[in-house]
Amino acid sequence: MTDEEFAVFYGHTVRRLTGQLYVMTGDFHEAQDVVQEAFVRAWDRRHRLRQGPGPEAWVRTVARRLAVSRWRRVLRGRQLGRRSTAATSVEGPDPGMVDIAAALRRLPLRQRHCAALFYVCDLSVEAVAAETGLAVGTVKSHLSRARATLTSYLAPQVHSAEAHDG
Amino acid sequence: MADDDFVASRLRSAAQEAGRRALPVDLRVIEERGRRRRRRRHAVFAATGAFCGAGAVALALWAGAPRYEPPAAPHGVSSSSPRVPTPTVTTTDGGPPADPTRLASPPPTPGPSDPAPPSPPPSRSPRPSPDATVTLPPV
Repeated sequence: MTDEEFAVFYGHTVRRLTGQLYVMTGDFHEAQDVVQEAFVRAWDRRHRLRQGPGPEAWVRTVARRLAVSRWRRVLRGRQLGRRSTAATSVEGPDPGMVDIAAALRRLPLRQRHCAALFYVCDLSVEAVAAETGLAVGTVKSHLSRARATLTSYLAPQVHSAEAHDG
Repeated sequence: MADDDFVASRLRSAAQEAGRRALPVDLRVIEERGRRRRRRRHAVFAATGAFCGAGAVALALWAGAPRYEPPAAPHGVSSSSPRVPTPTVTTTDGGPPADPTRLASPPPTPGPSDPAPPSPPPSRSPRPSPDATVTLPPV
């Protein structure tokens, strides 16, 4: 991939990838950061980028792994903070501010990734399994649980909004 | 199936909304960060190579340096060697010996299973005469 091709590729995919990573992470700024870092790494190896399964899939995979690494670091920091300081009360989500991001944050990490790849990136179950390194049955299980959680969390909001409008 | 469509539509609309709101940085920023990252990686490689090269040179110099080796003792005059003390049997005409147990132990005799004969007894000390008194430890 030449510099010009990389510029075209960047312009066409950066917003789409940011949206996909937003669904995977549940955090808009985090999604922007990891996508930018993944594009930096892609630029570093842009001459070899055509050889893989696809540049967009490569950037998405790198961004997803970066997000997982950051999430683990944050989790370790929280655990250390919980050990060193007194327990602080964490407020639950405000029912009036519940949105898709809050619903996504309720999902475990792998369920969120599988749901994003399947529903947003339009990948098949086999492609999701290949990209995440999970078995096909495991992906189906994650998708089923994610669907159930999201439906139970988002459907009451829709019903209440419809009742409020009506 | 309805749940499937509902979840898919909500997730897709969320992703599209996030993509619309995204403010992607200029490509020059990406290129500059990529160059900086490459320079940093090359610097790390160079530093690692220099460190390993210096270590290899130091190891080669240390391995090639002549070591001090003590001169080998000549054969047959081991009794005069100052480094290997040889047991001596002393006759006691007066006081008790310093190490009675050493004197009380019988002289080594080559057994049938002993392949190598013992070294010859020291030649400087006289052989104990039958008249010499040997102090034995109390039983």
